[in-house]
Amino acid sequence: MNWIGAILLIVATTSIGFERALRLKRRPEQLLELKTALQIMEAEIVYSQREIVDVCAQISKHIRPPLKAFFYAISSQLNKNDDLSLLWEQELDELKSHSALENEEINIMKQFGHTLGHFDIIQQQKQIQLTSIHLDRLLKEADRDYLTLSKVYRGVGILTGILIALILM
Amino acid sequence: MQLDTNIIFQIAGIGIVVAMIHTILKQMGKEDFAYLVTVVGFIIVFFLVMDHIANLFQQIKSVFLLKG
Repeated sequence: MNWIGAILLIVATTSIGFERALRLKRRPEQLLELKTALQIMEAEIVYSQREIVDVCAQISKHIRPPLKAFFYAISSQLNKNDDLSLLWEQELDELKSHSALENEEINIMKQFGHTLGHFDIIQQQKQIQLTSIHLDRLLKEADRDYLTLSKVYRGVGILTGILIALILM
Repeated sequence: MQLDTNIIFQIAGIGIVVAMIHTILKQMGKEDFAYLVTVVGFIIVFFLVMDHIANLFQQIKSVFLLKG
């Protein structure tokens, strides 16, 4: 019976380690998606000059989940709800629990959300570019983290399981 | 006197695993965590052998007739 418990424990901690490593792998991909979304938003605002509801609907057609759900939720709920920056923050918190994005990029996007709808087109374009630069920096960081830390998470996951099993033996 | 060899192997295993975790963390530049893991491993092993050390002190006291 001891052995079954030990094996279950090792499997559990190993899967936690792999899950963390997978999250690290998905973070740069999702940051890239977020950048694509901002590019689309810039094009829609500056050249097509559409409303934010249409912009978000347009973006949600072009990108993959989980960000797709975020923009879709904003475009569908903005009609019932007037306050864009509040809705933007709520949906970002929702997005954080469904995606591999970390606090830093969520905070940057929250700041960006406060600027939406307060400026003219030129200023808005500058805000989008500023956010994009911030995301670039985080993207580099996320890539580096993935390369170095994913192996650590896997190794430490397995070894922690073995350690706890040994202590409890 | 019956020696409990089980605990020796247990401590050896903990030592090996802690050393491996230390190496991995140190290689990836997380040296502060590496030292933390080593210290935690040491404390755990210390708790495991605490009874035996207390026993040893008792034995020494009785050998040198200091028991009162």
